[in-house]
Amino acid sequence: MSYFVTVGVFTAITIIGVLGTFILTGLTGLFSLGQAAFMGLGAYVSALLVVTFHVPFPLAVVLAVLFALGVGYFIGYTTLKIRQDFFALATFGFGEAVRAVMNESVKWTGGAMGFAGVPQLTTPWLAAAALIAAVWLVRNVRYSKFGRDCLAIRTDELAAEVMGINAFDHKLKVFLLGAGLSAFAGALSAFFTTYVEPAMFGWTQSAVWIIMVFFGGRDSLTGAIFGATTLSALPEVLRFASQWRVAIYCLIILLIINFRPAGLFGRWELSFKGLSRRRPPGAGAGKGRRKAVAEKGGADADA
Amino acid sequence: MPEMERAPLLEVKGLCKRFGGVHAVDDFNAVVNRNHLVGIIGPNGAGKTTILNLLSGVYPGNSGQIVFQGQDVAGKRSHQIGRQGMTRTFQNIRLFGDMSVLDNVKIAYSWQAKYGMLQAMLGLRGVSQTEREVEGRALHWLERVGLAEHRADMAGSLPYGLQRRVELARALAGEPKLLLLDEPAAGLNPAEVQEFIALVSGLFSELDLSIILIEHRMEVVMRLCHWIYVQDFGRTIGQGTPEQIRRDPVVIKAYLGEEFE
Repeated sequence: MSYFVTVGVFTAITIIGVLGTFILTGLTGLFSLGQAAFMGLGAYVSALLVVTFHVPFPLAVVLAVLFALGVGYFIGYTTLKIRQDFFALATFGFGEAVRAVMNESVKWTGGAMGFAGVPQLTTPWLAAAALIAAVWLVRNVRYSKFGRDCLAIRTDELAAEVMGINAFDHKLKVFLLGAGLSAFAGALSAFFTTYVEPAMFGWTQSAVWIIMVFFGGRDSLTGAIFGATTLSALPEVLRFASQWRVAIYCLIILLIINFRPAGLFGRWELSFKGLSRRRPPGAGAGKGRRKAVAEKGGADADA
Repeated sequence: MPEMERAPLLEVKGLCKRFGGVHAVDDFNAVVNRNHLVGIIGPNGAGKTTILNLLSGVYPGNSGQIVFQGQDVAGKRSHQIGRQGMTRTFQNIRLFGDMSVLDNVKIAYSWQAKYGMLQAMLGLRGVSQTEREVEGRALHWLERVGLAEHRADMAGSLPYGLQRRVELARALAGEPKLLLLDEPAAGLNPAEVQEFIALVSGLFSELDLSIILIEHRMEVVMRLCHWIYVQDFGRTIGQGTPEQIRRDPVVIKAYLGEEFE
């Protein structure tokens, strides 16, 4: 497989994971530092099912996602009622606990040595199809009432509640969507790299996804995809700068956050003729966006 | 259901709320009939907003009953009360500033829109149909408050007076039986206050609606309300029609002051 195809598949997998973070953190404002743990669950469960229990690959992926949803339900149900800053801590704890379990249950997972010998079943075409399907699903959610509810809860949970929205219920659904997408990405990655180890799924990975969302623009699906693509390809592009590449990577992020606090794309969405009908009114590009960003500061001050 | 018709829309009995040692609301009793416009007035810190917060379930009271449409809603959560037909606006405007004006109003229909997350994900046909319906209804309310041309603007970018109207449209879109307005004329200039009074009385006569209005401006309360409760330090010190309140010596002393006469 050529270098570019490999980078492309990794990017596709990253985008699928970032889509979950886009809905959860970008739109709903819930900072989960345990998203990568769901990716790890998806990777390990699907790999175990196929390698150890000889379950067919597609079924294993489905079961892995269902397993992550089950765990997500438990974690979401217990943590989404607490305040949002504590939610970040709780999901951090959850993520690290999952990683510890992967590290310690050597008999099943191979521990820190990793789990090798996974067949390479994620073809570039499968990755591409999965990516398109995931983007399509998330786009549909974004432009349904759920997308609106996400923004409403993020901006003013009390006002949303007064308008009849059950914020907890909604957050739980969004959390599950994020967990499912992460697990799906995890399963795809396990069967692409043919090897999984706990170190891949730490909280830093979750944080990287959040950075990608904010880099591209937290309100923009286009931005999330762009952010994921650029930032996962950037380290490869910066290879020539060897020891400076991490510094350059961080500098670029700092510049974006500093000079475009709403992210590269703000709330602008790429749209084709047929899609524009479904765009939220007022999601205009250009001047309107800049104006809205400028005035956001004023709106925050009065909250 | 003649009996239901005669029963008051809202009956509050012995409502109390303490914050630490402060009795923010002390034994509040009130009756709101169908198609009635009730005002609550009182100086700052009299517990007016606390009463609205208790009614709309923002926080629970320490004791007392809130019987709304024959059901005790005391202790219920905000979204449950909102779904039962009691919506509100806020003193310090709580719009979803990052969203368009139209989307702000659409939020009122989220709980009623009949499709689930899976249907939304797969973009089934029922979803777009429901969305069109919601858009139509939301637009109707925006037209009613005269904001249709601002539908695509970001709510947070509108001037203050228009934001108040967006909030009113959002609350109306919940199709409430009882609408709670928390100082809706605060921050409006005199011309806007006149427009606001005309808007509210127009809406009130068109819709099957009761309103509880909290207000500082005597003009607004006196012109709009059928019945007024006067609060001071958490207690009701008087109630009556605007005429009676204007003449009540206790009320004048506590709130209106000498210069009002």
